Amino acid sequence: MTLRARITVTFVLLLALALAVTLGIVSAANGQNAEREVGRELDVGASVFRRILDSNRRQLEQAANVLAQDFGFRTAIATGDIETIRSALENHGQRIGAGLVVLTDLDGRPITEANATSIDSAAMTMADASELPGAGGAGIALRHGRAYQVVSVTVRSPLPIARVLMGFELDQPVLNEVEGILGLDITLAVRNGSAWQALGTTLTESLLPAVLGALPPSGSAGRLEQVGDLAVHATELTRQTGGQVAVVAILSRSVSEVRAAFDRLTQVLWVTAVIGLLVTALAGYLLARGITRPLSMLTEAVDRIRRGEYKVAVAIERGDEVGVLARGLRQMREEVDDRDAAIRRLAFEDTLTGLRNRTGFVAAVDQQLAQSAATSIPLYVALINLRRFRTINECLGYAVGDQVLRHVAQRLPGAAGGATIAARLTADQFAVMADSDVIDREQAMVWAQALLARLSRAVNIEGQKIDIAPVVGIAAAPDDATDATELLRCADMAVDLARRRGVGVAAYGPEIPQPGRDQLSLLGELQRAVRENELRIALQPKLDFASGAVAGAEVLLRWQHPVRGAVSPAQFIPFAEQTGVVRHLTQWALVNATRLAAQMQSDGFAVPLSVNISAADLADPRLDSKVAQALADAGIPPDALTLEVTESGFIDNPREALAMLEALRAVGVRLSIDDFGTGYSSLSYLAHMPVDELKIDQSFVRRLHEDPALVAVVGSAIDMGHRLGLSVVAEGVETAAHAEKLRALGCDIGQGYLFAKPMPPDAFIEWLRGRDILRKPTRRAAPGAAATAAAASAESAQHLERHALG
Amino acid sequence: MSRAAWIMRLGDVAIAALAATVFSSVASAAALTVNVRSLQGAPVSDAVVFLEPERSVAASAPARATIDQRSRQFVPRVSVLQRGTVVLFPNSDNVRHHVYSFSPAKTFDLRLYAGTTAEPVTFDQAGLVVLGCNIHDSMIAYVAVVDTPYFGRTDASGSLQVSLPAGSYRLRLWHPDLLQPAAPESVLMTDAARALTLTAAIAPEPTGSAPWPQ
Repeated sequence: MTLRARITVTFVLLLALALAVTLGIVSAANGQNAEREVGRELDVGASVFRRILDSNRRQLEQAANVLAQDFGFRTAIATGDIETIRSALENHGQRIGAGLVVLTDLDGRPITEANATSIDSAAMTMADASELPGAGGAGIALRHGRAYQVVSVTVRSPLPIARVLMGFELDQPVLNEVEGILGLDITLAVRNGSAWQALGTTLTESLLPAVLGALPPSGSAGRLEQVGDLAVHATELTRQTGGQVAVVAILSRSVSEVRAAFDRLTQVLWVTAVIGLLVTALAGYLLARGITRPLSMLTEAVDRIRRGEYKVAVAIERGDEVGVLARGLRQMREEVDDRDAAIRRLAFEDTLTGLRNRTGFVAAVDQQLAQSAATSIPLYVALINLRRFRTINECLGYAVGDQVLRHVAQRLPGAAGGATIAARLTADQFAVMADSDVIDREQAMVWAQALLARLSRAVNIEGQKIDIAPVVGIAAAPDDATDATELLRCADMAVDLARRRGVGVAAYGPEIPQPGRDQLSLLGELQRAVRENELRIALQPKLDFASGAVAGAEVLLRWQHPVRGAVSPAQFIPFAEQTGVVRHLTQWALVNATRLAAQMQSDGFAVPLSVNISAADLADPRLDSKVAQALADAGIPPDALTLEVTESGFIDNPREALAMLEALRAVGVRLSIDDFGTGYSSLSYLAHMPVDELKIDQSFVRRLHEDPALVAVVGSAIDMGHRLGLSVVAEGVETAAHAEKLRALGCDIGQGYLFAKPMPPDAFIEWLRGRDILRKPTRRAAPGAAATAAAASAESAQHLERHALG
Repeated sequence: MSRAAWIMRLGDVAIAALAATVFSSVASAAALTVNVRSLQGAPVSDAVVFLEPERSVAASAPARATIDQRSRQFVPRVSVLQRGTVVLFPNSDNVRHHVYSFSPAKTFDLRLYAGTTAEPVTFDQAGLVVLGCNIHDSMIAYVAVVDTPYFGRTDASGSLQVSLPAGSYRLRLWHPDLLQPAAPESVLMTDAARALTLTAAIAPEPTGSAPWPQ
């Protein structure tokens, strides 16, 4: 849940809770409120109604008193002047709109009345006769089913002689008016025996019986039981003689109407609540957005800073906590940027010389390449190697070495800054990128020569002149390579070329072989080749000079690459040796060679096979057990296998190598020294090496006929081998002349195109047919050799038998 | 003529008339004392008592009387006059009064200004005259007009004295608050003075509306 959502939801929930409580209380209260409100309305209404009656009574009394005290009126009464009396009654009645004005005697008998020519005494019943006599008497009079509010005032002359009755009719308009004032329905009811009869009402007729029925027969005042929807209140207007209520005014109110008002209030509350909730939700959302928007801006800024965009602006200027956070972030960004720059400097700079390091140089050159790629203007890079540096370091110490490096660095064109890009790549390797005015190979050579000349001057350190013997190799982009790393590699090869040629400057060109171009990808593919069985065995026979019989065959590896096709061993074997992958190759060769030997043996061709072992293999302490395992798995005698070891195999760790040779010897395999004469073999080692065979390198054999000195060397080597009890094999026998010369020199066995090229096993077996196979390989006498020889002869015998039978 | 001189002169007239009456029958007249008591035995004041002789009496000169308006009251509240008496209505108040009577024995009305006296009114017919003031309803006075020279009004102790020549008389009693008319009573007078006690049924609350005995 996001912060924004959380704030908004919290706001809304709190308000909703408050509103729910409010609405709950209001709703619960409204039910009671309606009842209470109705009750209150009725009580107030009754009170107001009595006030109205009171006010009417006072008005009537006032008018009646005025009439009763009128001297003329009294005179008329004293003189019995009925016409005058009636006109006075009518006159005063009209003044206040009294519907009833009657003059009675002191016993209440009508004498005359307004608007009547005859006295209608029988129809006149006072609702309460006992209340009416006397001054100030007031009450309700009934006549012809009509109700009047009347007062009675005594006429004196000066003793009481008559009364004036004056009254308002309580007719429908009056009731309607009262209803208008009170907001309550009003019903006038008169007792009729034990039942109640309505004199007038503002209620609908249908409700009357129920309302009248609610009145107790004895009459009652105050609140009555609710009648259906109506709340009812009775006001006693008069009593009959005997104390019974005679006339009542019944006020009533529909509870549901009142409740409807409250319900409307509730509805309004609900609408208000909903609007309030919406407004709050909006306000909460806006408030939350006010908080979260800068937060998400910060988050975005942090994200960009994380990606390394230190120039990102954190444009939030606020006084609150978010502003503080933004300022902190800004500060952090600046500091991280500074540190990053420092780290970058360290990463791209050579601390000793202040020049760029390899990374820095590559980056700078790549950048330059990217810029010049569009224009296709060539870009030249020179790599400088100090040939003597290793010697300087070893002889004069690292401190001097460092000083030399600094001197050299200062001589480089880019040392003092400027546009030229210079770098120290490794210990004694420097690189310089040529300026843009060097635009072809000739100029580049001139530039490189100048560079060399500058660097070749001896370095003077503490009065000691030190010759550093620099070599420069140059390469060009885009001709030689299109990226800095590759460019440096090309320049490096140019350095190698220069060194080999013994010149100061060399340029990379097509004449430089590119062994390493595919090597990296080869590494992975080579491992896959072993795994996926893409390797094949080729066999090149060795022939015995003396008998012409087949003395054995060398196992050579062929790689049938699924895409590249056949890959030359020269392309992958040296690389395999450098990287150690050769161990896998050797293992593969051992297993497959022993299997092939076993198969050939069972086919009747017991030809000893030779497998090449590299220096890396010799360093493997489990090599002997691996060999023994392979022999055991294939089920062939150990002396059917010869392991060929180059002289270089001894150079790194002669002691361990010798120990391994002894171990292999113990396994029982034959051992051969390969490429004899190319390395720096120590003859003393040779003397003690537990080997059986010496293979003279083909470089001697090929040039045998053109160099008489070589004849002496080869002859001596053969002689030496024989003296050490070794059999001597010559490689690279390509012509009959070679063969003749070697045979003359006493060489035992020859190998080369003259006899056969390397061929697949099937072809080799075909080739074998009809040829003799040397029964027993020549070997020097050694402990345990007798048993092995015995086993070998047994096999030979077997073989012969089979041969004879075949 | 000043008002005081008026009263003095009227007084002289009254004394002269009384003296003439007394002296004409001085040899045979005796005093009758009447005490009026309520049913509870309390003395009744303002009770009117008059005695009608068996034989007719010679007409006498018209008497004079005064009914004053003082403190919004008629003073006296109850008067007894022989028929033909002339009554003066002075106004001792500083407010106006409007004295009227609708009584059949004498109907009149007088507008009395403050401090003035209106024309005297002659009560020439026997009977009860109830006086009212049209302005002040509470002012009521009773004037009992009798056709005999022998009458009186009880004082605060409920007694009165009448000097009567010897002979037989019909005694009548009236009071404004009598509940029912008192029956006439025969009184025989000799030369000797005598006393008489009458019991009157007086309403506990004043009604002021007792009818005149016929």
